[in-house]
Amino acid sequence: MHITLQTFGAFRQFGQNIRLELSDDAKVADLRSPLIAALAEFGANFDIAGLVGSSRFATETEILEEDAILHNGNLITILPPVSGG
Amino acid sequence: MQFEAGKIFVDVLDVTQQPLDAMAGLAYVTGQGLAVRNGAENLFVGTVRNHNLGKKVLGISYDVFIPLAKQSFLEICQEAQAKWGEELDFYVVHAQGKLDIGGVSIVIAVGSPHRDEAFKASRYVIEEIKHRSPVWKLEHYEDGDSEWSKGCELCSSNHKHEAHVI
Repeated sequence: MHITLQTFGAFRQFGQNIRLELSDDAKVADLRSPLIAALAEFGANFDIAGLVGSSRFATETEILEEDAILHNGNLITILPPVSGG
Repeated sequence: MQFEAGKIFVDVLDVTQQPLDAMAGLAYVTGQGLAVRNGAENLFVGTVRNHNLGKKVLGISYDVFIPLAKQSFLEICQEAQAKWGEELDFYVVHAQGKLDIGGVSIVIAVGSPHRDEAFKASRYVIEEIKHRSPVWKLEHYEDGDSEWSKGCELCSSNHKHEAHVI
């Protein structure tokens, strides 16, 4: 299945959206490895794996648990560590 | 007097179009005329300062995941009502877009019958927003460089914040 990942913060430099291909039974935690692999091709001036590891995933209404099941076509947002206020 | 539930207003504004208005927040929680039922209004204003971690800052761009940010503001205000009084009024507006030094990044106004609850609820709201709301700062430095703030790591649950760096 494919998932569209919406980016914010430091992930903005990789584009507004990133498309990932995952196995059909993938869960939220399974987003990280293919994402790190996809971003490594771009290169960055920060530790990509470290930032992906400290990020969470969300919909427009909730931050998702790591074991939440994904569905084909889902639009998921990646939330790096926050700094509002 | 009959108990009246407090009101909550939350929003995210594009500050390249319209600056945040602290006085609008204060007016919202104060009310008007005979409808004024609060005796204490607390106003918190966040502004862009000219330095951070030893670097000279020229401005900050705020990136916001608006739907989830607004929901988090609402939940945080509701939690504050549960802690300090369902009658408390809240106004929370956060900036999106680029601000120069001195620009207003957030306005939090709390109205309460008494001052103690107003101070505590205001402090709670700003601290929780810093830990939980999906907002990111891109600092622009004097040397032309820009850098995203390190920030606080979110937990899967909205209601916990253990690992964080500011």
